[in-house]
Amino acid sequence: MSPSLRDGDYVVLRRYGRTRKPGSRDVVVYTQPGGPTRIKRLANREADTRFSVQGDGPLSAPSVDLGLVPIDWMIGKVIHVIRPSGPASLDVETGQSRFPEI
Amino acid sequence: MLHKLTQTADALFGFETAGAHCDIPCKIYDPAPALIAALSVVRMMDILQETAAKEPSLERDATIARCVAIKELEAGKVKEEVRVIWGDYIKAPQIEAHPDVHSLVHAIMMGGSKCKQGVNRDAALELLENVNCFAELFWQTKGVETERREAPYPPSLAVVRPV
Repeated sequence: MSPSLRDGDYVVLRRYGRTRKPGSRDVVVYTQPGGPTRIKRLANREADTRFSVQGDGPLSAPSVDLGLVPIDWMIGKVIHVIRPSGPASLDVETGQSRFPEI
Repeated sequence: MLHKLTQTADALFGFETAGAHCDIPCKIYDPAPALIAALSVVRMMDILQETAAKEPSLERDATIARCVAIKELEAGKVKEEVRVIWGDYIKAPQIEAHPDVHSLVHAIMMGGSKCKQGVNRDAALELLENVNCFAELFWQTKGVETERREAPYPPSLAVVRPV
């Protein structure tokens, strides 16, 4: 997810629920049953309940390697990033920080 | 400041870590090095058996020592090459298509260790067969046909290769 996220960043999530659903371009945290917890950007909804994922970097591992992610696996959407240079909010459409780094 | 406070809270409560999995995904995966290493394990065992049958001498002992060292290295290479493909390439779609992949990889890990520990040719042949099966599985995930062909060098055993 570089350059939007960096090693050591903390993220604040807003959980999905009945009134908040995942959408394309959301940066989400999800956990595969029995597998690792990952943070990726949702790309396209491929089926009623699954999304393809992508990273923001040119060398990111895409869905063809990671597989489709069911909504059930998703914990929530990233709404804030806390990094050593100061807090930032990700712009949903561009993936860029809304606030300049201090 | 906020990051430092969050770090402190992390140290106290243990926040979960999420990975973005950006290993340079160059997509270059190939079980061929694992197969060559498995063949080498068999070959080292054959040379060890031949050498052990000779009259004791310093030269004989030196050859045995070298072959044991190479056997250790090559069996370790089998495990490492397979582990990297399993850990970095095999994901949910591949596991769904091949639910036996984890038990096959575990058998390769155990077999590699067994070949390090002893000089049992049957164990080495079993390791080679398991790596051949892993290679067939790997190429199937890419929709690539394979064949088994005899290697043109000792121990002249069949290995999987893409056609």
